[in-house]
Amino acid sequence: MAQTQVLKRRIRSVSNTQQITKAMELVAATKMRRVQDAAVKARVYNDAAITALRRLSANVEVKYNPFFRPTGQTKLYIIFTSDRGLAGAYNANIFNSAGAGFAADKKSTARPAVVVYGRKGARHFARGTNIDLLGAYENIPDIPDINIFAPVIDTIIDGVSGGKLGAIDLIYTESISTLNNRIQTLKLVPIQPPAEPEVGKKSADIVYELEPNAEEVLASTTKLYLESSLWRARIEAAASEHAMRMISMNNANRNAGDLIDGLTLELNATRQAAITQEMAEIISAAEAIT
Amino acid sequence: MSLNFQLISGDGVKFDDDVYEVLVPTKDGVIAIAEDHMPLLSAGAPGVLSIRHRSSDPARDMEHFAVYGGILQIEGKSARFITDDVTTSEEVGEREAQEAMERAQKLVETADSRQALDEAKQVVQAHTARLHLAQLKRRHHR
Repeated sequence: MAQTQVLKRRIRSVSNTQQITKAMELVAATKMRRVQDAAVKARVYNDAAITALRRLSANVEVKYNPFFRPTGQTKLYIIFTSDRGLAGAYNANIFNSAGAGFAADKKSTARPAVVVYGRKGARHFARGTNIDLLGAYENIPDIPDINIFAPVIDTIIDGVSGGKLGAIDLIYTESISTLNNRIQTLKLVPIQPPAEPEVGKKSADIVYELEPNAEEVLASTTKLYLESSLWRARIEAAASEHAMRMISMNNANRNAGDLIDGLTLELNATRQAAITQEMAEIISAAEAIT
Repeated sequence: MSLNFQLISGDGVKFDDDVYEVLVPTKDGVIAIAEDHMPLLSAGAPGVLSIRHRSSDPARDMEHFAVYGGILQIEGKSARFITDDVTTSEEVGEREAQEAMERAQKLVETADSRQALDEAKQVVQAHTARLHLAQLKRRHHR
């Protein structure tokens, strides 16, 4: 009887956990759908900025622009992690990717600099002894105000123009689909716009007038490119986080179901054994009397 | 005679259609673009971007948006303006825009550093664009 009570208690406890994981899965699914819509829009914005940058990359001024030919020694990593856990290997994958980057940079004389978004990353990189943590931002909304990136953009512009930063990598999780999320390391600086995907007349064949002058247009386009890349990375990272949390909560939910099934079987067998034993005792008692 | 014009912001494509003419605020002042404009890349400035759909449309039928800097890219029969944020006429009211403008001007007066002053001036420019948009909306709805 005591054994049945223990099993019943365990089943109740696992059922309660299953209810929580089910609720978390539903919440993550709702948030994911909202953020995935925003991610589509952010890609359009970022692609448009890259196209404008590609049009400029043929200009002679680019040869002397520090964003295309940086002179600094320090490499800056901008890393997007999550504020909360329970999203499978979401943060661990990011930390591994960043760690691999730091290890590759060991040959360089300057220590890598890091700007991190998300509480998990802030705690992880605060413990790092071989890096300079320039900034850690927590509780960033899934779809933030674009001005939230103003401080890091100022750091980038000052660092690259001042000859301090030589390269900038953006590490985030890209949302390919709900089930497919992969780590993306985007080389923000030196700027290398991806090859022209369009067919027909190539942009290099078109001569563009630049107003008010090449320097101002380059500055505006570079700022737009940095801003849109950070904006896109944040939204992609949030979409992946919710997708991975949804998957991991679904797995937890399924595991809890399996556990409940196993415990229920065990409970039934135990109860049946008790009944059989009771019946055997009654029969043997009856036989003893007669 | 038509030009395909796209207005792209962080919130996706805000406008994509064939138009007759677009008035775009740039750092060199407002420029008008129409079909077969020479290829151009221009640094945008905060202000009101106005779209005339057909050549016969009067000023009151033009569609207006407040934009806050960005890049204008023209390639003959197509043009696009890429900016971080766009405000439509429906999203702005004149009284709120006026109040926001007054708050922004106070920020300029109370700025205690060069950086704070520059930031406050940017806020004023953005609110000037919004206020201008709200005033255009009132004028055309009389």
